[in-house]
Amino acid sequence: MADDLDLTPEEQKKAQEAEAMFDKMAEQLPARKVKVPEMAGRNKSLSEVEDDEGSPSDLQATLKRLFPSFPENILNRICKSIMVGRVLHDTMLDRVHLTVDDIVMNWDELEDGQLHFMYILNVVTTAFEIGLNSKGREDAIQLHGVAHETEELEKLADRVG
Amino acid sequence: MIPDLLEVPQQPFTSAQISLIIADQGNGKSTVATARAVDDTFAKLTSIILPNGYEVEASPALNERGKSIVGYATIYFPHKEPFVAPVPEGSCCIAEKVRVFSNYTLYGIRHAKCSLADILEHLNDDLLLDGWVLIDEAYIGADARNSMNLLNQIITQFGFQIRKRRLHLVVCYPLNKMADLRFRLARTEYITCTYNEKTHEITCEIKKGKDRKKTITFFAPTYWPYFNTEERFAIPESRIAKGLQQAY
Repeated sequence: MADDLDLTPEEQKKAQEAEAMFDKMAEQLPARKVKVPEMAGRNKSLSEVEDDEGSPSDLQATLKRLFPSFPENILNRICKSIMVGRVLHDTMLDRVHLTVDDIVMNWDELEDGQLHFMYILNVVTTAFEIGLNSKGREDAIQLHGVAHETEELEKLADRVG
Repeated sequence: MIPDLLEVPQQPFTSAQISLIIADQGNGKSTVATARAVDDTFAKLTSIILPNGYEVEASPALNERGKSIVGYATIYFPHKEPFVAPVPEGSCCIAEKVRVFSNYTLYGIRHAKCSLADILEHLNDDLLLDGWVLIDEAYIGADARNSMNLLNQIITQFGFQIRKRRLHLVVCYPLNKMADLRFRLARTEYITCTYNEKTHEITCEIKKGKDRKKTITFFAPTYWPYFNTEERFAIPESRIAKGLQQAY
């Protein structure tokens, strides 16, 4: 820490003195022998858990359910925009047909895994159904409104301590 | 209408790291405070003093995401290939670059036990630089009720200098309203926690700055070897004497 910074000789001397003072004060006690309850697997430390994604808020969890993501990049890329797009009734079936065709034709080039036609068809159809008549867009806006209200309430709670 | 006096600024006064941990008794605030220092020690581990007094060189054992694992280390024995193993029971871990100051005793990691008097004594020298300052049961020195008290004022002034001192200050209180107002205003991280006796897990709600609250759960016994939850905190003699004076 201290030696990572550019220090003048005087500051270096002070830092060394402080280091020596700390060494003098420091205690090196052995860890206590305590009976730790047995749990399956290795338990993560606080910083490891913090590093992982924390449990999502209600809003995040709902958004995840409403606008799912998929392990395949190609499906993700295409479906994300469909879900919040304006899908009209008249064009939906044609668009599903064209989209599935396109994904199937490019599958080998873009994805390593085996092609599963019904999986692609279901995912694409679901994405179009979410975006049908701009329903996905409306849901997202409604949720954002709720989140904004919650945020305001949290701020108010903070202010009153 | 909320009175102006209760208005909390949107931004903290400084960008200093002040963690305010609030929890009822036995709900894991000491564990969370200890965890901060223990995690940092394991992340910058340099050696281990084994139970037989022999000191071996060590470095952090990393998980698949490159984060250090608490309780494990890469150990370098002379004339042997380095290997990852659990840190033997009764050892003490040392990270040369991590200075930990705490007002309670820590076990298994190098630290300096500092009473509030020690902190005051070293306010003007370079000892309290680059490290962690853990203050458990902080109401003993910095209670919101005694905010005009000189000790309170000095402690909170110290709190405001921690950015310049490159320190992480962790203060624990059983109730939010017991925390000195200045700590409440200057905090950059606000943690509330609860302990589940059945699963031995602590659930923390962490709010950092303007970020949304994050809820995490971790296994408390991981940190039990590093502190003693039964340790008692002495109330300053002068305060007891003053109380006695008023009692008679």
